[in-house]
Amino acid sequence: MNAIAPEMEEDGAQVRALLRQSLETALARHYSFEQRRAAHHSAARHSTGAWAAYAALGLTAVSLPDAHGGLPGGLAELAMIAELLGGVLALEPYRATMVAARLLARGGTHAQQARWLPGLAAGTCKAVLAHMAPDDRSLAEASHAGEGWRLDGRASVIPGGDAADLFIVPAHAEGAVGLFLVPARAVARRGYGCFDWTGAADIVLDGIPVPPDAKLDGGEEALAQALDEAVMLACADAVGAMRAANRLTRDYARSRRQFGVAIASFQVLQHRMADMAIAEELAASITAAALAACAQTDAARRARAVSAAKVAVGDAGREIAHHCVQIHGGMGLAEEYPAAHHFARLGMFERLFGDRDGHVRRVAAPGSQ
Amino acid sequence: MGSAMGPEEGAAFIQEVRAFVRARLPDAVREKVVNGVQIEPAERRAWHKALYDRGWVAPHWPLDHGGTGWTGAQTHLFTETLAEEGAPDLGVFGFKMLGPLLIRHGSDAQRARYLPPLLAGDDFWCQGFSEPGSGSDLASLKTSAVPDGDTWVVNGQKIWTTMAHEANRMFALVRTDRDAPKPQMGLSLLLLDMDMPGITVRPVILLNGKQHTNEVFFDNVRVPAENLVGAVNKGWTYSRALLGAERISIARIGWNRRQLAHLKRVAAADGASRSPLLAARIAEAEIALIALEAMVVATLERARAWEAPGVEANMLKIKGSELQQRIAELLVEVAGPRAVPFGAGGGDVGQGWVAHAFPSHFYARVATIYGGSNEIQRNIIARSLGLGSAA
Repeated sequence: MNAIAPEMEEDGAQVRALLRQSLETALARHYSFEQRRAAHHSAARHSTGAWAAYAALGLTAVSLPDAHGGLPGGLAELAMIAELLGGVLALEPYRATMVAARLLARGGTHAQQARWLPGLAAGTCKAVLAHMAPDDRSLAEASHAGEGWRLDGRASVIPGGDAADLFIVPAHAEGAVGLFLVPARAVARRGYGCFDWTGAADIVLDGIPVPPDAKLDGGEEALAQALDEAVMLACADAVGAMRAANRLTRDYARSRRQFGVAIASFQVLQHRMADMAIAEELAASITAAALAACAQTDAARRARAVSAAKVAVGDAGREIAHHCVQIHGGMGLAEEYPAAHHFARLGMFERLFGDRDGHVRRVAAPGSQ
Repeated sequence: MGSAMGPEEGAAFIQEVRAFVRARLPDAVREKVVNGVQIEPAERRAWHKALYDRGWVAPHWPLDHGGTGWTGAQTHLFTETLAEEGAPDLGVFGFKMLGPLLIRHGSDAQRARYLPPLLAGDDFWCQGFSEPGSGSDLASLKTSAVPDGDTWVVNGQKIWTTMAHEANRMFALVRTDRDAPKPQMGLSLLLLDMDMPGITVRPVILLNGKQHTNEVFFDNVRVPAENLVGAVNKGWTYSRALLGAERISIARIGWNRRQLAHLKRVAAADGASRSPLLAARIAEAEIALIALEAMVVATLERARAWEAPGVEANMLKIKGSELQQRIAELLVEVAGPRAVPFGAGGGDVGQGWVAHAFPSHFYARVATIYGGSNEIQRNIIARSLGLGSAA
């Protein structure tokens, strides 16, 4: 049961509409500004209540094989969920877990799937891929040790790594890329908070032994696909944050009065907010194109579309983040007001999943069509 | 040294200033300044004393008030060299604004009372201008001062009051005439002691976690009548000139030069400058700096120290603040994912300068907002070009 459940477009649209509605309701219940702050300061660094709500809605099961507790759906549903979570600046490692779970569903043996997927689908377990950038070749090293393997290396700034129960570690294994399942308790991990209030971790693999059945069947191509999916879902998250930042900015400009009028009446700010709306539309569109490319089998096309989206969404997000803060004035920098948090979320997007130049190079690479 | 310096004299002067900073400024303080970390009050006071002892604490003031009597160009060389060397800012409010204000418009008694402790570093001033409803539209401010016998009774609220939590004094723009024909015509400048009964300071934490600004509340604060600067209801005219003075320093040539050098240093150490795309972006920032420096030189040649700055100051503010933000952004780019860990317990990659990259980048966004937002600067420039009166 490695296949992702096929989508039927009309049913898909209906399911997505229902899903959207239920998730919006749940987020309204769990993601006030104060609740988010409390979640950030909690031991988990995210809202365990919100995570439980995602699980109850079946979001953690979407697109996973039904034999292991999965539900129908695919990347389109996940992208929609990611966008909604981005809109409230959600702190839970949802995208990271789904990318890892899908990789496991695609490249794992039946036994591996049976061991991990039911927990992942039920939301009782979190997994992350301990690698981030498509153009980053610095992998861990796997060498044979007895029946199994030993892993050496490190991975830094893994989003959601602080909360993960399971890492999927890519490593050079006998001239090929191998993917290894490593329970979190087996690694030396340092978890910490990031500037956007989400959590991350650095892990060190100091010659840790892994059994032979910890290696996935999938290798380099499975990893490449997972990384592209991660980038595309991060784009969707950023689009959600942009939409929210634009709404926030417009609301503020309409209510903030200077010189006896709402500042939204100043043409220079109107033009800027028009540019922000254009940036949002552009980002949403190119993310949709990347989503479509992820559904195709042609890896080169997928890579090109995803990298193009990463660059364009990053540029759009930077423009929106800067203007959002600027139009809010001093209020845009205050910790107790959401504008700065949108700035941080969009800044985070640019720092993770490969830098701009790396993605530009991927688009420019010969043979990238 | 009242006359203009030749290039050789200028170079020798810069060397002298540089040697002074390197001898007297602790490396730890310099590193904090470069990383955008707020220094401790004790560190600021020690640096203040070093400058004071050397007679350099208020270079742009006239000689007979404790300044240096230098030309504007020499003062510029001095302040920018200090910044370039990583010297902490002693606070623009006391030296660049309050001092010149009292020298020009204050009474003899005010000068005698306030200038010596400002010079000596015993007083630290903050500026009470912005209010919740009055940012860009400063003239609409509502904090009122009502006469009662020989005192003014102050009520209202200020916000974005930088360093109010450390300052012991404040100069505030307050409304003394509610019925003035134009809002600008009913404002006065008052000198307050921060420990006057009825003043409350509440911190406003920014997302970078450390730097914070403040709200200041006034509840029937009684201020002696002699604390009003110059004439009643002339506060707007006086403060306009002050904002001009703030703008020139906001171009921050020395700061930009220092941070660009820092950027190039860390990029080279990282091998990041091997990326031709990044190297080109850094070079473009450097070109922007060269252009800004040329603009400052041209401006200084036109304006002597005590002339009111022209519209060039507004232009410098815009270009200087934009460059400041660009350099801070490039530092985050060089840091890459290492800029992500934040606060206590950051990962093993998030140590050293990279730990400060994002907070500094975030805080740099304020450069296009404070001191008159860049939108307001552009309005002023447009007006000077005869383009009608945009708000």
